Amino acid sequence: MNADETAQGKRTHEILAVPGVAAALARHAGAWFPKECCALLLDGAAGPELVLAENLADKYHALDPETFPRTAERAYVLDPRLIARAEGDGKTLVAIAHSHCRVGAYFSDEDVRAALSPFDDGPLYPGVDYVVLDAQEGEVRGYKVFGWSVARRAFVEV
Amino acid sequence: MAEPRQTERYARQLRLPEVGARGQERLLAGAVAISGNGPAAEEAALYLCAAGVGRLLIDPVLAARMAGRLAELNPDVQLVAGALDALWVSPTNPERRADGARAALLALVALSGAGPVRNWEETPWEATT
Repeated sequence: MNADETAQGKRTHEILAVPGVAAALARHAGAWFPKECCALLLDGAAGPELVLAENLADKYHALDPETFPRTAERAYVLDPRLIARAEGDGKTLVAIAHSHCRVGAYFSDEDVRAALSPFDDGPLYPGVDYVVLDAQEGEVRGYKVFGWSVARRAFVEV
Repeated sequence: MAEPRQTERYARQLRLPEVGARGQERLLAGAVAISGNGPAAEEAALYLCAAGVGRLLIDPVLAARMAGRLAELNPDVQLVAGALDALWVSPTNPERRADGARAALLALVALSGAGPVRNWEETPWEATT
């Protein structure tokens, strides 16, 4: 692992190691199963914070199925106001979390597409990691953290 | 000062599901004509420029006043002003110029590739601004 990849995932792993955080995230994924869940990991003056969010994919799919062909079983759409509000409050977005249902924790092509800028100049959220939870019937088996590698110009597990 | 990345420039819009990458690409490929050169036109030019609308067709008076500011705000945006000025002059009466919304519409039609509207004085459509 390169130095930049180690630095990239460090804070996310630290927050996930805070007692209760990973468990709360897993409960969130379980509650949303068989749909994907989504959440934010933030850092602020008061310490790290986990924001459990609503997956808006079904709502957008119902409104505009051409632009949003995937339902919440296979996609997630976060309310961007959550991020704007957090940043407005002086907090830092550390990671965006979502679950995969029945297919394992990996960074899919769709995840990569959504995380990259359309201008081919790197990630849409520079410095932000992605946590992918492995949600299965009746249990959440764990998670993996992915971050942007400057050296490899790709998202890698960190 | 380093040129800000395009992603940074349009970050807020790119992150909105309603706009996203596809919407931003459409904005950059789009053109908007702004009629008039008063404070409302100025404000519209600023917002449209910041949003990344690819081409702004503006009144030459407004262009003279704002070109530098708009270029600094967003160098992605192309201002079209002087070149279209001639299109807005009536081909039959050089003293008469299209104005307001009619001028904006004529400019957009010309920019679309349909060519200048030669008989704009005969069109039933009336300017409303």
